[in-house]
Amino acid sequence: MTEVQLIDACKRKEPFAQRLLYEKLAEKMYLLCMRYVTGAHDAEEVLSDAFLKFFNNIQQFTYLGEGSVQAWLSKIVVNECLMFLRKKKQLVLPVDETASIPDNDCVLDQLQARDLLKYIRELPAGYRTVLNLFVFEDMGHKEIASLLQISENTSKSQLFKARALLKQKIQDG
Amino acid sequence: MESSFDSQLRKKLEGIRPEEAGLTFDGERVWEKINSGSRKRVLPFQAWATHAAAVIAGMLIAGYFISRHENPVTAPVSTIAENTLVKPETKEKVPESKVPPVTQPPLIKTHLRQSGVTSSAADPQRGESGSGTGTTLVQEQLPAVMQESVVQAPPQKKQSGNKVLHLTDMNNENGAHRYAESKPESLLARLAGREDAKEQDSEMLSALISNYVTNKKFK
Repeated sequence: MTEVQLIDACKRKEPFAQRLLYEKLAEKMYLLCMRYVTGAHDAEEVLSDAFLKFFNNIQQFTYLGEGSVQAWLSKIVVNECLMFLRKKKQLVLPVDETASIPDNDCVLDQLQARDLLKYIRELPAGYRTVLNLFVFEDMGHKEIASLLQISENTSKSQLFKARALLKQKIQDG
Repeated sequence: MESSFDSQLRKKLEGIRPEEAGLTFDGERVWEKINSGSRKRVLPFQAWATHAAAVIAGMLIAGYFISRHENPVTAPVSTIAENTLVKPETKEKVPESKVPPVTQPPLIKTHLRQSGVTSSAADPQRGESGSGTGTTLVQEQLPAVMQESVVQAPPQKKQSGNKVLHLTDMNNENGAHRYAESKPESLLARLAGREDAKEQDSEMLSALISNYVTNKKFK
């Protein structure tokens, strides 16, 4: 069954198609959730809410090619993660940071994926969110600023500090 | 501006599975949550729809029974109110010379049965209660002239207690006893000056004389 047929079947609310699409995308979306939300149980909650929204609003989706479904679902999952962080009041972005973090060059070749994910999840919520949006979701500072309701300079400084802190963690390893 | 560090991060985490990242993902549990969530979103609408249907059905049934209950009561009251010709208040204001003569009883007469009027007159509490066919209500609203034309109950003669002793009762002890009882009452009535009592006394005197004569003959 092709992706187009799968989408059409999901638009007809056919359970087997929904299950197939879920099995195809669930693990990737779960990893995405785990980058934003630290708790495994919270990540599952966010993921289930995101899939519910996805299946309920799939009539509005227009297929634009291979991977467009994953991109659309990723946006829904990211929005759900941000809503969860706002609800839990974890999305606090410190404006003034007295302690300066040196930005050293860092090589990730020998670093394992699980360690890297662990370091990312250990970052403060504000740093982690801006880093995820900029690096993994390919958003610009303007878009991040409007999404998080902060200024572009704040977004830039948050990203800079997030990178520096992550490099420091990797080096301290 | 994207740095090489960012691209390395992306490549490192691209396409990995949860097991490789040291995470355990329970897909079945999340799928059950999705299914239960989709069921929960359907249930409130169903519950709302069933409750709304029940309320609407209840209102329809109640409206049907209320309309059915009110119809037999309202119809006669409205017709009687239309048929009342003269209000009691107007009788006091309008002089009698200007009041047109009542040649025939009003339509109200058809609603007033003689037995109903007499029974209501005999039982004042029944008239005050206002329940029933509404004839007592109409009677209160009618002027005195119209009431006289409608109510024509025959006057009941009050039994005086005086009884005539006939010849056939001569051998009957009860008949003599009745006569003895009635005599003092007739005397009292005569003292009070009642005319009907005088007539009855004259009858009794004639009966006594005839009895006396017959007794003499038999003896």
